[in-house]
Amino acid sequence: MAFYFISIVLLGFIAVYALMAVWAERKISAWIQDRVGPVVTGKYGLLQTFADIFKMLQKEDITPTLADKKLFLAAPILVFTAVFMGFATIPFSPTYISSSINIGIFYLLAIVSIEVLGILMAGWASNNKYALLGSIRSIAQIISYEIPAALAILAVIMLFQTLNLQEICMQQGILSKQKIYFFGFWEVSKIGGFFAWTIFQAPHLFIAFIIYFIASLAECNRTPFDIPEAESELVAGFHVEYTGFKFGALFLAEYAMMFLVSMIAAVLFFGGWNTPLPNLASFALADYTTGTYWGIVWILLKALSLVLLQVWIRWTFPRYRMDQLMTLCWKVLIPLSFVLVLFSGIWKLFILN
Amino acid sequence: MIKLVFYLFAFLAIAAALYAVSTKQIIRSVFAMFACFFAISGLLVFAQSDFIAIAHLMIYVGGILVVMVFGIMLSQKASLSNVVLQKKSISLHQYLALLACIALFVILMYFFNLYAPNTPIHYVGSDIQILGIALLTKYLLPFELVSLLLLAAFIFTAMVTRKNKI
Repeated sequence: MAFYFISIVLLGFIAVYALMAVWAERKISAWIQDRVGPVVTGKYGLLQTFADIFKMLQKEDITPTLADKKLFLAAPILVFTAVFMGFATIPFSPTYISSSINIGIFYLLAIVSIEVLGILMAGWASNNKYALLGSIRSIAQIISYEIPAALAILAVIMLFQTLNLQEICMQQGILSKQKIYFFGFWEVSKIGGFFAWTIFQAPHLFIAFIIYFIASLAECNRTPFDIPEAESELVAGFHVEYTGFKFGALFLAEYAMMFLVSMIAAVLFFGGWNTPLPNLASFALADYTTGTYWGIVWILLKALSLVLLQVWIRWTFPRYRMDQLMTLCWKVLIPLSFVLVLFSGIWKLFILN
Repeated sequence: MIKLVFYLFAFLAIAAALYAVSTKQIIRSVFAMFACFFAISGLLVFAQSDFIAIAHLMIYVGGILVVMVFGIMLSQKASLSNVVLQKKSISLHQYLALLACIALFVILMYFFNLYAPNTPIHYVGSDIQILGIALLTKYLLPFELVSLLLLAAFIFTAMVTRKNKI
């Protein structure tokens, strides 16, 4: 029973989060561009996206005459299901994880590749040249950027020697059974806090985080890698023909995907549900702020801050060109992430032993 | 409940595979193959080999299927529209193919019965550690040979697709 309850709560949370994220994105973009953004509906325009979604649900559901009707219907379902399936292995607190399987992160990488197929289905079934071009670009981009993302993750899991996300979280805080070293020289197993996070456990892991973050932006089709849906050249890319609820589902999947990759980044690099407050001298802050409810608060705060960073980047950087995008991936990020994997092996063998 | 899910996956795998070979639209058959692969990886979870299940999903859905879709999209438009079947009657080579399929099935079932253990297999826990150690000790040579083969294929592809010949 608890399983069904939690999955429904999670679905509700993602829906509300997506609405608030759209509002936040509009507000932040307005502030960056020196505008005010939505102000009319509700206090600070808070109800704007709720109004938008009710309008969207009432819209006529149009299927193009020449579209492949079954695939056109199946695509948004497949895309959203794939993203939502990813949340199954994310640990929310020391005591709560939906499925504590020992292949957690590997499962997540496989789930992302299912989403690719859904995008392709949407683009092809629409029978529209813009949609098809958008989905081809999207796939080329997502498949390419999966490699540096996977290698950056590999650099991290080589140090932890487990694929289980709950165990990865455990090894970054005061609940760890192994000894944790701050940059390899200062033992912080009992101090915890941000000293024990992955990015502070070895000097090269911050670069691994940057590579993962760039790759995750590309996997979410966010600016500066939003060429699949580039408004100024492809209208809207793979979801140009979608209306009403189906468009809503695709939009929800996009924001859920942003949240999912931020959750993975929070778990792998920023200690997951571990507190940022360390035990220093007589202030045992880490002991106080570790627990089921604190865990949920910390991981959500970390993930939402990373989503905020994604939004910030969207309104700051211009779009990449296709060849620049591929050059960045294949000639910069992949060699760099291979070096990081090698460095992880050296660190594990010679520094931590 | 669990038995129901198992039969659902089994039904989905067979139905999707049959649809994939019988449909006239190539792109639909690719998506039916996706459903088939997905159901097979579900069945692998029932066989208590979850790592193989996810690896199956990753390799077939994330790799092979996407490459197939790319091939279809980049090929000529005639192949995207409905493929017209030339003949209604079954020709000789189709009979031969059917015969080969049945022969393969019989051989597989024979060896499966020959080597299948009589006692039920028990789940021993974290299978990735066992798998990793086995791959890097007992099966190191085949593992390295396969990776060498993949590297050769990789270099060959890069050579073939180069515009300026070296």
